[in-house]
Parts: sequence; structure tokens; C-alpha cells
Amino acid sequence: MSYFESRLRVKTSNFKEIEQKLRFCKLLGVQNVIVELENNSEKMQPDLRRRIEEITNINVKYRTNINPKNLESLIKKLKGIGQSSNIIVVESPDKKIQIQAAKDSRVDVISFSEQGVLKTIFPGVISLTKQNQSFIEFSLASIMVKNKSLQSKNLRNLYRGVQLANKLNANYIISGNFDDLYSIRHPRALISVCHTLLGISILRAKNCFSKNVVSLLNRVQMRQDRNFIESGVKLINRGEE
Amino acid sequence: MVKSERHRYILFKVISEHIKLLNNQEILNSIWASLWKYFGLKEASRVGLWLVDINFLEGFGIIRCSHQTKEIVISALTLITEISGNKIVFSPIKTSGTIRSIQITKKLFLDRNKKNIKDIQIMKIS
Repeated sequence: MSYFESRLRVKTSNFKEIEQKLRFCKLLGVQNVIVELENNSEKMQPDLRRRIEEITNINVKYRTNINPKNLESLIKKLKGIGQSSNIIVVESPDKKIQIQAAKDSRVDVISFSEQGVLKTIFPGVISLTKQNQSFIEFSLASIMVKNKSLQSKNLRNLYRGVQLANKLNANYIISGNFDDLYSIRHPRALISVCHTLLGISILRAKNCFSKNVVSLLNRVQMRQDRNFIESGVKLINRGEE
Repeated sequence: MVKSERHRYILFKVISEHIKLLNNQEILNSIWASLWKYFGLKEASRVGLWLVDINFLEGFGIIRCSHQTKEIVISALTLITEISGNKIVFSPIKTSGTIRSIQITKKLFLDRNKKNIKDIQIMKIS
């Protein structure tokens, strides 16, 4: 089973950093990486994509993060990138934005990676993501901080969020989202962390790093396919009742 | 008669920021510290930890633990970030029930990753 690192943040302005992070992933044995390009991520230069793919033989996918300040800005930003081949992720502490994003079929993932956002998770948004077959994202970066009190606080918040998602049988993925090069870990190691510290069963944790991510990528592919008809929609010919 | 405890051998990669040879005791202490920090006395007492082999130049190590605490040990290894101010990564590669099969895996891993070891050295220099 091949596992995914679902969030590797890199700056487009610093190609050396991109190269270093991808080589490090290769060194750890990570086969699949989803890269999040900071700065002008929506309009990615094709040249940059080619250069990234030339670095290693890792399977690289891309994601676009939207951090809207209000509902209008979310709608405006989604209009621009609706047909994007990247995974579209919305991250906001505002519950109204979360609900709107969960309702929108263009949005693939609602992210609860940051601590401020993680605290705002509630059953309504989980239910909407289930209806829309989109995903929720949690990140483990917050439990790798040095400060012990902050670390335990972050672990507690993450535990609460994950347990809620488990209880409601949500579709969720878990990413590393590590900033520092030497904090990056192999997803199999992170599965053990999820199992032992967050109380997720091994099978479910493995799904969060592989099967669910594959489903997410299939969703993105289907979103681009114009001939695809969503489940529950029936086509009626003219004159037919 | 008491049934003997089953063991697990964990082969892991060692990637460090600087070329600095640490001694075995420092490695063991950091693993124990991580076990204590995240899992406490109850779990630490069940582990039965033993450092079988470690090689900083080739970038691998093998530890032995009880089969019931395999996941705990992998987590503890994962959560170690630095030893004596030196950023370090212990990345588990393979788990096995016998020392013989883990030695075979180690050999395969070393043969296959000779290029990667060069990459580690390049990264350390840069």
C-alpha cells in the first residue's frame, strides 16, 4: 500500500527549498506527495511543474489553499479556480465559510490543520462533507512543537477533533504539514502516532493516509470530467416525464 | 510455565543534520525519554527495549522491543526530533519477528540505497 504526504508546503520563489524538501521525502521513502505552493499558487507556471517533476521520481500532485476572509471572497476565489486540476482546499475559522465551502461541490477538502481552525470544528460541517463526498483534513504538525504545554494543548485539540470525526464516521485525511525539513516524517510512522496518541485504529489510520487520499484524487479527476453526472441526478430526455 | 515474550526487530533509517557521531547510550536515552514523555511508566515498563545495532555512517539502526509495544516504539522513534542539539530523524523502514530476516532486509536496504546515502552526505554538506 502506498501512502501519501498530503500537505507539503513550499514557496514558489525558492526553488532550492522545493528541491531540498522533495529530496528529503525521497530519502525517507515517501512515494506520493501533495505539494502546496505558497504565493500565486492558482496560476502555476507550467515550467515550474516540469522542473519539480524532474527533481525526483516521486509522484507529485498539487493543491490550492484558499483562506477567505468572508463569504464574498470565498465565492470570488472559487469562481477563478473552479476548473483547476489541483485539489481545492478551504481553510477558515469562520463557521459560515466552512458551511458554504462544504456545500460547494468545487471544494474538495475543508482543512482543520491550524489550531485556531481546529477548535471550530462542529458536526454540521462534517455532515455536509459526507453529503458532498468531500473530505476533512487534520494535520500532525502541531504536535511536533518543542514547548510542552503548547504541545499537550495542541494534542488535546487534535484528539477532540479526530474523535468527533470518528464518531460521526466522517471522510477525513491526515497530513503531516511540517514546516521544518527535519520534522518531515514517513506517513507509516505517522500512522503509528495516530494509532497510539490519537486513538485511531490502525486500519482507519492507514486509510487516512492512502485510500481516502486516492478517493480524493479521483474526486478531483471527476470534477474536471464534464461528462460526469453526480449520483442522484437523473437525465430526462425532452418530452419524457 | 510462563510463555516467553515475542520480540519485534525494527530497522530504522538515521538522518541527521550534521555529521556527528553519537554514542549508543545517547540514542537509548533519547528513545527512553521519548517513551516516558509520550506514554509514561505503564507503557515504558512493557517495552523491553534493546539497541541491537546502529551505524551512523551507513545511516541505519536496529532495535528490539516486545511485539505488543511495536507501535509505541515506532511512535516514540518518530517523535524524536533532536539529540544533543543535533536535529535527527529516526524513520522506521521494516519490522520483523526474527533477527535473521531483519539482517537480510538491512543488507538489501543498504545495497539498494547506496545512492541515497550519497544523497544524505550531499545534504549534510550543503
